[in-house]
Amino acid sequence: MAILSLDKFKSLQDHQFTKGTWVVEYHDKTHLGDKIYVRLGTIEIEERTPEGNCLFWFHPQSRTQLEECFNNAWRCEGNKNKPDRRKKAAETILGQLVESMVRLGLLQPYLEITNLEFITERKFAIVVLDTNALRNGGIRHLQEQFPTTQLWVIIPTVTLMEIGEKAANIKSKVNDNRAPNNSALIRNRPQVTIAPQAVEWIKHIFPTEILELAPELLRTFRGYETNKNDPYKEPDRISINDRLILEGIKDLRRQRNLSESVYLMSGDKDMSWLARLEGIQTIYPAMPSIQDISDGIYSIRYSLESQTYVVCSIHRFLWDLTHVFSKIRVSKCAEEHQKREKWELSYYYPTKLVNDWVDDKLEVTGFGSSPTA
Amino acid sequence: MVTIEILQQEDIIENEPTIKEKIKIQGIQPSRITPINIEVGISISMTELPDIINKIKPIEKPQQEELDNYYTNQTRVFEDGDLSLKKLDIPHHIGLRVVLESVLRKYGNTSETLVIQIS
Repeated sequence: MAILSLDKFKSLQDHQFTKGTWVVEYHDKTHLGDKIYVRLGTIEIEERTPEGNCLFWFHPQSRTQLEECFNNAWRCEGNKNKPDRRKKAAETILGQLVESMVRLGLLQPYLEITNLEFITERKFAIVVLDTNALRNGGIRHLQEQFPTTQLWVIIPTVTLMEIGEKAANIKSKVNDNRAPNNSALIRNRPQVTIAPQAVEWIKHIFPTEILELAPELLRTFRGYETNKNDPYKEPDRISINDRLILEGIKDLRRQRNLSESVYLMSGDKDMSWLARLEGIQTIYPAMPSIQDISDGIYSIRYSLESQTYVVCSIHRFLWDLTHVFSKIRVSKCAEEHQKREKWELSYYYPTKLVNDWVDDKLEVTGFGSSPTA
Repeated sequence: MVTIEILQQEDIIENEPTIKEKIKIQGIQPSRITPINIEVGISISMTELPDIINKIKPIEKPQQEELDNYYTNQTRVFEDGDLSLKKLDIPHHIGLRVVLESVLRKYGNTSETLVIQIS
């Protein structure tokens, strides 16, 4: 067992994945019993380059297969193991797999942009990001599809506040009793685990500004309390956060005399629509459909826009899945006489300190060979 | 280098074809890839493209001493969701296959024709 950063995980010889078929499974204690894993799909390693990079196919489970997995996993749950819960859980898993592939660059979202001429002709845009846009890698795709456009990124403080709120919500559910309904939490986890890393990355790549909200805006819109009848229920803060972001953009345009160049990038369809009604330019990254991954996803894509290859390493792929599903197990389908290679990556571990969160470290456990970090 | 030109179908018959998109891929040698080595310079319709993609493979199984030819020379890539360019060895046939898959994704439902050239 070792606590590793992604670079360390990639570089150690012990962590090389051999050619063949590997099964990928996840465990999440919010909705699965102890030692119960649900299969996400298989990885077929096609080639290994001299540098040790694996070129691979990922074949996800079908919706029906996932529903069957949940049926087995929740067998002891009695009347909570309902078909509609299994169906919703399967949809959540597939949706998150698509989002993960988009984040890693292997699938392209369709960028729905208002006033596209401004970006293509002036080659400049100020992009305000909400939490959804932070987690789904939309800004990366915008830069890839418009490589000559200069982007100035603005992250409103309310976006960062929303990350904190989601973290508290997930924590309360983790400490609560495990329940099939909690599978919906998987949708929220990337907002807590991936969005903060995305902020660091954006600050490194683009000129970035954190947009402070005017105190009077906060006083006006944040004066509400948690639902006292059900303290575990997440308060309806989403619409208030959306409003704060929209008002922040209007403030920004007024104060700096900007108009056309400011865009809101949001993965939330309703918010984009509302912003357009209020005269704010929007970039909406429409996610590909689940059907786009049904035949499998290859670890290399060619971008016709930037005329560049986009590659994902197997280590990064598993790293991202661990951020979404909390614990990932990957094991090689071996013949009887072969030693079974198996790896487990955990996002949560008891000794995780603040530095480990900032440095994005995971607990990596190997069976068959031991990590030497 | 391989150049792929996407041509507008209706123009090919009567006029000089209009090039809709031109893709230049550095480092890939078509002579290392079958069946592209025989398809070079001829027109391929979008309906024929999936079949060509499925048939793409290295011209022969590379021997140890030929491995340098098996890989494109350190292709520039965006890696792991990052936008900073890195370099990676990718086999010629895989490099071309994923380019053609991208072309198919974009133009698969159109009547466009593509021509593969070496320059």
